[in-house]
Amino acid sequence: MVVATLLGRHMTGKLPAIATAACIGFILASTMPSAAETRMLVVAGLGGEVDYAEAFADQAATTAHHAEAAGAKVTLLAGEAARTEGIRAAIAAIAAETGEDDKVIVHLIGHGTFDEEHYRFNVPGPDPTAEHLAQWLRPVTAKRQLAVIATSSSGAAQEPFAREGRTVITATRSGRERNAVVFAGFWADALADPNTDVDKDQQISADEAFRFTEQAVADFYEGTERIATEHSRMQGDAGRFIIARTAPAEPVDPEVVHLVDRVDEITAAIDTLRADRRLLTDDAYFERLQELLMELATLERQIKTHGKPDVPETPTADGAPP
Amino acid sequence: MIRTFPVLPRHRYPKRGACLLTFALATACLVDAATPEDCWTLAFSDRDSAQDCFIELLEHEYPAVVAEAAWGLDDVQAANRAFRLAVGREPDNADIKVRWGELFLATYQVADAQTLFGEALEIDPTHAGAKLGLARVAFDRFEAEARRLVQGVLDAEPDHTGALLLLARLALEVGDHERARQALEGPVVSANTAHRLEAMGLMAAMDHVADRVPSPWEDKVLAIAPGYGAMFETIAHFYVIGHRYREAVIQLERALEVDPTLWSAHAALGTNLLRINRFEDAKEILARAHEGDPYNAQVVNTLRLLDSLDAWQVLREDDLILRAHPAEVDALKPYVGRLVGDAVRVVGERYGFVPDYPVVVEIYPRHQDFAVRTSGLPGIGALGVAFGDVVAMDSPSARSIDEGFDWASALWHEVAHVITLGATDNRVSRWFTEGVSVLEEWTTGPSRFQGANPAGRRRAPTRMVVAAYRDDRLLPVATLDEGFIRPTYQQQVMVSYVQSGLLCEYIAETHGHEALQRILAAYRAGKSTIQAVEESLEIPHETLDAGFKDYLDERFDGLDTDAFGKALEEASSAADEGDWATVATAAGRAVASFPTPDPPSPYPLLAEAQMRLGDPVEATQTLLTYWRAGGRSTSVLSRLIELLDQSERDDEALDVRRSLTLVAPLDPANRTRLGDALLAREKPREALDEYLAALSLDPHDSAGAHYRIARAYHRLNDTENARRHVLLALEIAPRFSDALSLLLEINR
Repeated sequence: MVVATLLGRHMTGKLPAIATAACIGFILASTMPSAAETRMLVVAGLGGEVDYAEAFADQAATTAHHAEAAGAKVTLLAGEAARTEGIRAAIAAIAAETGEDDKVIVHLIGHGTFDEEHYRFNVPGPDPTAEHLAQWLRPVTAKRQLAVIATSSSGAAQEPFAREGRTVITATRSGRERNAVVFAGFWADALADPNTDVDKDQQISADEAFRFTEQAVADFYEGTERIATEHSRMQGDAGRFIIARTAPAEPVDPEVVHLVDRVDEITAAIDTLRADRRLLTDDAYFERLQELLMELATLERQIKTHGKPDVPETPTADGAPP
Repeated sequence: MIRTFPVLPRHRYPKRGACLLTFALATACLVDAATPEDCWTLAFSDRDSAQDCFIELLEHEYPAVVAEAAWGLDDVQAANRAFRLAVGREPDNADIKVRWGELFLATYQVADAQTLFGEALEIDPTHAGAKLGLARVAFDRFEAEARRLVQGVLDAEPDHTGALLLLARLALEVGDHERARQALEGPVVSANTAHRLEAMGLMAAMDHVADRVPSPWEDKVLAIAPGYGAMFETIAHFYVIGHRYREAVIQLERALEVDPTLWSAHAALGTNLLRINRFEDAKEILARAHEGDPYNAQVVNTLRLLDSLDAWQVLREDDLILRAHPAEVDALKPYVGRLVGDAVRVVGERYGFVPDYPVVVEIYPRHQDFAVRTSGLPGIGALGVAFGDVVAMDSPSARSIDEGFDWASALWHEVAHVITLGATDNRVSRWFTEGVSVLEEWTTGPSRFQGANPAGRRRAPTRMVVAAYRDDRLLPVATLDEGFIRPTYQQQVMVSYVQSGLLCEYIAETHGHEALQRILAAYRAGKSTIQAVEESLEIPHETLDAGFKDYLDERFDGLDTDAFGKALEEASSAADEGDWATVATAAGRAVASFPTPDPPSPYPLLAEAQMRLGDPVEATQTLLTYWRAGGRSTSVLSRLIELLDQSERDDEALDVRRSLTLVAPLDPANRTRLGDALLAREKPREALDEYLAALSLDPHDSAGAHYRIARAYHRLNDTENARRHVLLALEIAPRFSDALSLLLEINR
C-alpha cells in the first residue's frame, strides 16, 4: 500500500486482523488466475476539528487495509498529502497503471459541500469539485469503476460522476443533506463484520458493504431518535468490487484444480436454477438445489481435506457461522 | 350533520336559555313568540316542534339568536358565523362570548373555547358562565384546576346550578358519593329542565356505580324527556372511570336506543367496544359516529388506527390473543406468550384469581396509535393500559429501554391489572390496582429486584417519590385515587403509582400478603376504599396512613437525594477530566446515598472507574449489582456480558444476556447472540425461538439466520426443517462453508 500523510500519523502498512472466523474456508474465486487487478485510491479529507480529522484518518486507514487484504493495490492520501494536486496526481498514476480489464475504486472520506451548483470535497487548500474529480478520472480506461463518496452533500456528486461502467455510491441522496455523515464510519465497520458477507463467499463486495451500511445508518438515526440527515444512494452494480475478505485466501493445490473447475460449474448451475425457479414446483426446485449443493459440499470437503489426514468434518461447535 | 345543543360537552341540554343571557336577547324574547330557551326546552319532549321553533328564529334580527337557532338545527358552521357577527356587533358582550365558547366546546375545539371564556372574563372578571366554561375545559382534560374553578363560582354564587352539577361530577369521579349527593340536592329539583335532567342523570349514575340497579331515576328522566340519551352517556362515563367497560357499553347502547342520533354516544360506544375487544362492532359504530359528527377528532383518529390494524396479525392461543404489527409479531410472540403465561400464573396465584379467558394484548409500534387507544382516560402512565382482559401498550420499537421504557415489566404490570380487575369484576379502586401492579413489577416481574442492595433488600424507590414524601405531598389512602385522576402537581401521577406500590408493599409486610387478597375481595363486594381497607385490615384508614408514614421513614432512611445528586455530578465531572480515582470515590458515594438502577444510575460510572483503575472483578460485581437491582440499560448490560464472558462466568452471562434480549427484543443481533449462547449450552429449543425471531426481523445476514435455524432444528432431530433451512441458507449463499458441511451431516 502506498501511504501518503504529512500528519505524523505514520501508518506502518501492517494490516489489522481482518477476520478471525473459526472456519477458514477455501477461497475459490480469488484464486482463479486473473491478470486483472483492482487499484484503489482512498482519501481522508479535511476534518476541521480534531475529532473529525482522527475519525476520517481512521476510517480511511481501515478502508485501505481491508481493500489491500482483499488483493487491491491501494493508495491512501491523508493530511497534507490529500491536497487537490495530490489527489489529481494519484488518479493520474492509477490511469497510467491500469487497463480496461482492471477495476478502479476511488473512495473519498470527509466533509463535502454544495453551493447549489457544485459539489466540493473539502481538503487542505483549494477544494476539488465533483467535475474536477470526474475530469481527472476521464483518462482511466478501466471498464469497471467504483466511486464511493462518503461525505456530506455527496449526493450532488452523483451526476458529475455518472459514466458507463462506473458505479457511484454517495452518503447522501442530494447536495442539500449537508450535515456531517456517519456513513463512512459504518462503512468501515461493515468491512470488519463477517455478517456483511451475506453470500458467505468470504469476500465483502461493495454492494454488501453498502447494504450493511445503509441499514446501520438508518438504525443509528432511529436508535438515537434523530432526524435522518443522510440517505445513501447507489447507482450501478457494486457487487463486482471486492473490498474486504472475511478470511485470508488460501492457494490452490494444482492437484485439485479439476475440482475447483467443477465447483465453478455447479455454482453456475445453481445460478441458473435460481433464475428458473418460477418454472419449477417448490419440491422440484429444492430437490434439484439439494442435488447440486450436495455435490458442491462434497467437492468443498475434498478440496479442503486434500492432502490432510482424515478429520471428521463438523460445523463450528457453538453453532455460530464464521 | 351534528345535532348539538348548547350545553356541556357530551351532555346536550342547556343550563339556561339564551334569551336570559343578554339584554339584546331578552328584548328579543319580549318581541318574539318563542325564545331560544323555549326551543331548547321543547327539544326535550318534542324534537320536531323544537326544529320548527328554531327555524322561526333563523330570521331573527339579532345574530346571537340566529346563532342559537342554527346551533339548535345542527348547523354549527352557520352558528359560528352568526356568533362571529354577534361579537362583532357587541364586542364587549361577555355573554355572547361565553355562548360562542360553549359552541366551540361542544364541537371539540377546546383551545378556541378557552380563548373565548378568557376574553369574556377580561370583559367581566366575575362572569360565572365564563369561569364555568374554563372549569369545563379543565374537567375534560382531567385537570385538578377544574375543582378550583368550580369552587370559585360557588364561592360567589353558592347556588349556581351549573357549578353544582360540575362539582357533583368531580365528586363522583373519585367515588365521593356523599359530596355528589349534596351538590345535586338543588339541581335535581331545578325549574330548569336541562339542569334537572342532568342532575337526575347523575343520581342515576351514582346508583349504577354503587350497583343499585335499576335506578329509579332512569324512569323519572325518561318520563320527562323520552329521548334523553345523555343520561345513559353519563352513567357510562362513570362506569369507564371505574374500569367497568362492559357495563359502559350496555349503557351506551341504551343511549342509542332512546336517541339514535346521539353521535357522542356512538363515539363513546365505539371506543368502549374496542376496550372489550369487539373490534368489528366498534368499527361499524365509529363509522356511524363519524358520519353523524365529522368534527370528532378522536373518532377520526380511531378509525384511521382501525384501518391500519387491518393489516396486523392476530395470533390466538388458549390463554393469549396477540395483536401486533406484522414486522414485529413473530419476534415478540415468544416473549409475550411467556410473560403473559408466567404473569397470569404467578400473580394469579398470589391474588387467588387466575382468569379462565385469554388475555388480549395489543402492541403498538407507533406511540400515537397507543395514545389513540387510551384517549379520554385519566392518569395513564403512557406505558400501557389494561381494559379488563384487554391490554394495550407501546411496542419496544415505539420507545426503547434506554428511554426508560421496560416493555417487559410494563406488560407484567398490565397483566397484574388483568388479575385485579378480573378478581373484582372491575370494581377495584385505581390506587389499589396500580399498587398491586407496581408491587408485582418489583417482586415477581421480569426486571424485579434480586439479591442484596447496600440500602436494604427492596427496590430503591424513585427519587421523585422520596422528594414528594419529604415535601409532604403524598396523599392519604382515602384520596389517593385523586392523584391519578386529577393531579395537582407535575409528576403526581407517577408519584401516585409508586406510592401505591409502596403502600401495598407495606400492607403485605405488616398484615401479610393475604391482606391484599382480602382488600380485593372487599372491592369485589362493592366496598369503597375506606371500607375495604378498614374491614380487611381491621384498623381505621387513618391508622394505616400513620403506619405507612412510619414505614416510609424507615424505608427511606439513609436515602439522601441531595448527596446523591452532588456525588453524581462530581463523578461525571471527574470522568470528563479522566480523573478515575475521584470518579470511583464520588460514584461510590452516590451509590451509598441512593442505590438506584434507574437513570441516572451511578453504578455504570462506578464500574467504568473500577475498570479504568484496573479492577475488572470489582467492576463486574458493580454491574451485577446494578442488573440485580433491576437496571436494564442495553449498553450497560452489553458491557457486563463482555466482562462475564471474559471471566468465563457463563451462567451469569447467559442470564444477563436473557435480560438484555428481553428488554430489546427487536434487535436481531441480540436475538442471534442469545440463540448462540443457548445453543452452546445445549438449549436448542430456546435457541430456535431466538433464531426464528431474528429471522423475522429481516436481518442483513439472512443466510446466516437460516443456517442457525437449521443447526437448532438439527440438534432437535427435526431433519426436515433442518434441511429446509440449510437449503434456504445455501440458496442465498451457495458457498457458505458451514452450511454445506451441515447439509452433508443432515444427509449422512
